[in-house]
Amino acid sequence: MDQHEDPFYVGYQPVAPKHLARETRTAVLGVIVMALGTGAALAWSAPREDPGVFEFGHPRQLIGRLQETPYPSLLVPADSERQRVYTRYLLVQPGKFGAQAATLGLDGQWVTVTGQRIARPGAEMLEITAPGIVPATEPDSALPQLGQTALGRRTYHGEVVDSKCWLGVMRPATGNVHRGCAYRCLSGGIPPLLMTRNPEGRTEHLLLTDADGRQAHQRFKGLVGRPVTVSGPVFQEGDLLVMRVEQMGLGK
Amino acid sequence: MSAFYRAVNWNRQKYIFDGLLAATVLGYLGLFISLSLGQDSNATLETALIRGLGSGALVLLTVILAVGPLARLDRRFVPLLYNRRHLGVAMFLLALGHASFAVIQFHALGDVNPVVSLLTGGADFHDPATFPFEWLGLAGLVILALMAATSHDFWLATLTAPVWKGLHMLVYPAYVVLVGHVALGSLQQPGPPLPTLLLIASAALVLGLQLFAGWRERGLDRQQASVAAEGWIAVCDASEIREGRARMALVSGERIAVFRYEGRISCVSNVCQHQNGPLGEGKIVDGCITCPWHGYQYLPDSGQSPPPFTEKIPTFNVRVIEGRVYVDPRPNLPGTRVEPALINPGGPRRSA
Ligand code: FES
Repeated sequence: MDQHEDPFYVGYQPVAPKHLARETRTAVLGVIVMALGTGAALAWSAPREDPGVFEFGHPRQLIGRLQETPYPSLLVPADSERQRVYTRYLLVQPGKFGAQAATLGLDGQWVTVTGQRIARPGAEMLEITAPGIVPATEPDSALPQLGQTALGRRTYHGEVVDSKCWLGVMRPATGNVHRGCAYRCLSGGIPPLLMTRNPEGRTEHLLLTDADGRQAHQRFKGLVGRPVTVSGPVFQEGDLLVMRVEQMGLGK
Repeated sequence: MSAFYRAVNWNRQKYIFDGLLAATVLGYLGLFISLSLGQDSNATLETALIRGLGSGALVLLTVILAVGPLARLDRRFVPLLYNRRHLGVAMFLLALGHASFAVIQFHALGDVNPVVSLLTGGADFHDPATFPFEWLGLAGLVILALMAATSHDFWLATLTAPVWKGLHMLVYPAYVVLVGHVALGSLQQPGPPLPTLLLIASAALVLGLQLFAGWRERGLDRQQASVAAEGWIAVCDASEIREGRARMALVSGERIAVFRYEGRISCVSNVCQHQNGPLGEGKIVDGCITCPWHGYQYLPDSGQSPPPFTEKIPTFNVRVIEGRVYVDPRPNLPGTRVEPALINPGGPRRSA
């Protein structure tokens, strides 16, 4: 019997019988269309429009006063037209490291910091890049003395995130997919934030410390990427909310 | 064990196949990344790459697992089997890319080695929301790596067929752990239900096709091989078999293929030594039974591959009485020559 009546094709033969080839082409085309369609649908269903910003490759220089506690930050006097008197930038190092070592002993000093801005509405951060932190002279626009206002003991539900990824470096920066990364970041000294939603649905951030107000990134690293409940006295320091965590637990 | 492995010929079909495969994979990644970046001005290339590579690997794995049963149900898919290992290697490369970028993004530049970080970073089994889904991904990747590294027929010959087949059956556990990896990882994120639905659909497709193809073959087995006479089993009439083709049947729990060629009937095991391909769906080409999957060949009377190849399959004694084909259900040792039965013992015998 010839190939035409009884087509049979094995891949090492140079040419496939015509109508077998045609049928196979249809099947292959079907598979390809389904695969590409799946990819398009998956890409389309990705979470969008996360407001985090990371000005990667565009460092800026800021002059401000360093503050080592509870976590390293730079207080930069604001332009006089703005209502706010200063902007607080949390400071971190490149990679998954906090800026504790880089700011050691500089508390209260005026410095110029070069870094890449990381930001989300309501929170600013600077990833220090070369040449890093250099001394500066105090400008005329002085900063107010920052006092702490006690807001009382509160309980919040939310998720512990590493501030660097959450504020803009990574998407997603929450949940199980990001858990390993957040764990590593907190382990390296990145300040832990509680990401929580207030009754109006707006996202709020609280910087977390231990019950005595000291840095506690190591204590919180096991809690990242899942719903938690934390309780303790909350302090307002300028625009910053800090909770001295006395109790923490899993779940809502 | 074979002393040789068959040289892979790079013919035009193979180039077309690989060209199409490469174009599809690149098209998938291009489409995925441009859609991800296009719809979200803040999206990052790394995340789009990680998602694109990972989802592409799983889509390709689904295709690979679906092609086997599809080929049994519909001959249009048989040519895809021939080069299936190319799909496998491409899928492994996608998975490797996904894993590498994910390890760099989530675990590099930290206070411990990225691999240590991957294996220790907050692993917590108490809760699906914190299950170390990365471990499942890593386990899947290790299996895929083993299979990709041994995909060449050199390894089939070196490891021996049973070991190689066992190794490559690990694709099913790999699929299961990778589905778990996605379900406990990316699907735990808040978002639209579409990815979850797609994962369920893909798993249902793979499982459904396997079950359906198996069920169809069970039906085939039952319908044949019913009449027994003196221990020999009547399989069918010789006239029911097309020239150069076979009829499959189940005798004593073993699948056989009864071939008709040039006025003669021979019977061999239905199972190809290469990768268990269905020889009964093959054809006699150049005097040899030729497997439909990758074209391994066996002489119909002895079940031996023509020299220099050394594969052997069991043969069965066969008779034709008044046009009816009878098979002795006891298999002969692989490679045992059996005199073919003549369909018309008195009639003219065509020369080979
Ligand atoms: S299964 Fe590969 S040639 Fe038969």
